[in-house]
Amino acid sequence: MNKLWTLARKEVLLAFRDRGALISMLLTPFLLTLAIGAAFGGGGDQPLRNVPVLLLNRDQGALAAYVVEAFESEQVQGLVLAERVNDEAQARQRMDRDEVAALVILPADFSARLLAAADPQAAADDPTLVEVYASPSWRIGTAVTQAIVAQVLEGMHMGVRGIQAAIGQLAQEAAAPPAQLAALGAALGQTMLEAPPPTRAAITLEIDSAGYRPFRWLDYTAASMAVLFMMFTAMAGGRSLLHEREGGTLPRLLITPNPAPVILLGKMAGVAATGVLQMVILWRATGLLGAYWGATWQAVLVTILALVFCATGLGALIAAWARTTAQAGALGTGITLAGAALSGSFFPRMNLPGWVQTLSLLTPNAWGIEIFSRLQTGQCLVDVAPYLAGTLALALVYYVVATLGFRRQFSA
Amino acid sequence: MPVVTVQEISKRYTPQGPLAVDGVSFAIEQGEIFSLLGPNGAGKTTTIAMLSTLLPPTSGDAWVSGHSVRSAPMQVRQSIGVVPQELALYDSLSARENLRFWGEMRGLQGQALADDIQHKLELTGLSERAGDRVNTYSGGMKRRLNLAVGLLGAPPLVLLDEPTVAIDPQSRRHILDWVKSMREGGQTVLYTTHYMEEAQELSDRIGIMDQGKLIALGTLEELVRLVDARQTLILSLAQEGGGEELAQRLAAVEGIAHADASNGEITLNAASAQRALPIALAEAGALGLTVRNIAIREPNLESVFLHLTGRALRD
Repeated sequence: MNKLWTLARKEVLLAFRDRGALISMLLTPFLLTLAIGAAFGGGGDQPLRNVPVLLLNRDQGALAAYVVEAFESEQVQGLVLAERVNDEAQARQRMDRDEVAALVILPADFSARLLAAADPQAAADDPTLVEVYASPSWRIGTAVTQAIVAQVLEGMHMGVRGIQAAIGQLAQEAAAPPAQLAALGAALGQTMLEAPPPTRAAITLEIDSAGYRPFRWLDYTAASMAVLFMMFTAMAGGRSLLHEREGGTLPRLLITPNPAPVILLGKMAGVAATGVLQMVILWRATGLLGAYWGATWQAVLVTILALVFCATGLGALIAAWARTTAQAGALGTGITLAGAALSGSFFPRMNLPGWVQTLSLLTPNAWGIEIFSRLQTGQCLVDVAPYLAGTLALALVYYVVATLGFRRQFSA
Repeated sequence: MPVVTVQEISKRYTPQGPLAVDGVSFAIEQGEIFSLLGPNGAGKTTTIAMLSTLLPPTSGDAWVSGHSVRSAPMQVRQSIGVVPQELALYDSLSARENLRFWGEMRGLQGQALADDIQHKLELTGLSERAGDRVNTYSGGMKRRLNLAVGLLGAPPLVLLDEPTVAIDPQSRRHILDWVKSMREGGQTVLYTTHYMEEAQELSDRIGIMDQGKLIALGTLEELVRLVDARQTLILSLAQEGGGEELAQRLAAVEGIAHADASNGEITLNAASAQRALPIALAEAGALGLTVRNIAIREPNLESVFLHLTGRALRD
């Protein structure tokens, strides 16, 4: 344990004594955060956009079609991206893959139940009337979906109740025979459904957004830049192993009375400690600019630890398989920059196509940005736990492949 | 029981490549300074790398304090201090920080480590600059620190791989005196060099290596006896070309054992340099070559190497 500490302390000391490294580790990401935050506004909230929702309509009735139309109306355009589907199994698979925020299922008897109900309000409030399956990770998107459904049902029950009241009044006054009243009711219902949008009740969303924080460029950039530049640190740390080999200090270390795995582990621990220190400093420093990283320090710290562990694994993997420092440098920089572009280090990740978001999960950048984005919009440690597990799983893969590479190197 | 026993050790870096070390055997006794002398590429550094467990031997084995480098590398590492040929220090750390780091990696700690660091700083003359970063040191200071790191913890066996390469005379003298003091302290030293003078000055015994093989082994006196008390005659030519032809002609002359041309100089071994000199001057004149300088040396390791390999050590 003492040897690990000795090695780790040396790594941290070397990293923080290198002025060039300090500029790259701390000053550059801080200045970029400052510049982007200033350019796009720290408080410049961007509204929620294009929440993906699947609509499965099993009802042939006009009221169900009205619900579907509400999701596709101009009033929610840009906010919701609704897609009609027919296959429930496929829709649920997409939910499982977290591709969509919610699945709305309108049962076959939706319209009939609503129209036949003696108490339309009770019918509208019945949770079995419309099934809304929500993704726990799309917290705000789910709230939007539920708000739209509630709004539409509210409008319907008001309309149905109005028609019922009018027909009831006419029947009481015996103003028309029952057959005519039935036809009149149907006609009024049709008129309600066909009314042009302005005459319909506007959809005004009252989203349950307790704890939700909107997207802010400053928050996003602070975390994404910190992740990106921590990646550079991890890559440089891995590369330093080759540098030490070429410079003669690694061979000298390998003939000290310590097993090679202890030396590698100590070195990687030092690289990881440097990365953690870097991210913690950036977290606190950008906090002074007003950047928000998450509701609790524990969640932020756990994320930093998992992320640095993963990034260090990638750095070790490259060091284990590259032949020279120059080769490792080119590989590390290339992978980091490509990962940054795919992961959304330079622009909001949620605006990237789904397949790019999925592909980018091969890099630590993506997991880091994903988790911090969620923490920044109000999710807690439990909410991001699956993503932390994903980060650690990816780290495990990196370390296994790196170990194979090191075995090959040190047995040569 | 010898501190070091090397038995038929060989190293081949690639399966089809040449042997960098070819069946070398020797032993070093407690408190002895044993030098491996040879030109660059002779296999000295590879031998040290195998003895220090950095490289596994392709065949053969070596034992340090009774521990095999193959089967007990950790015990071997506990018994040795290694000073590599290339500087292996952290430039951004100070001398004191370097010594502390390497000492801790050797398992030293506490007051014992602090005392050892202070002792090494005084011994290397680096006490006043102990807090300065190594990247502000001169080459000689770095060499001395490199040596001090290898001697932390007073290991029973010290492996020194060309520790005086590319340094100023003052630092070289410092290091040579230090090596002698190790012997006085009971430490055993394996010293590699391609400087004949260093091997002559320091060594109790010398092994001469060439092209991976140990071609001679013994005390200085024993080795010199190998050349039958031949003298070495060195002729410096005014012209750059023509030396090879002159060396070929002289090598065929009776009484001249070896003749070699290199860098405008003809080096030849002869039973009597005085007798060989007029012949050499006459042959040079016949070839139109002008001799600018003449030197005669008594038998030494240079002449031993020339005798054994047909080449000068500096080649």
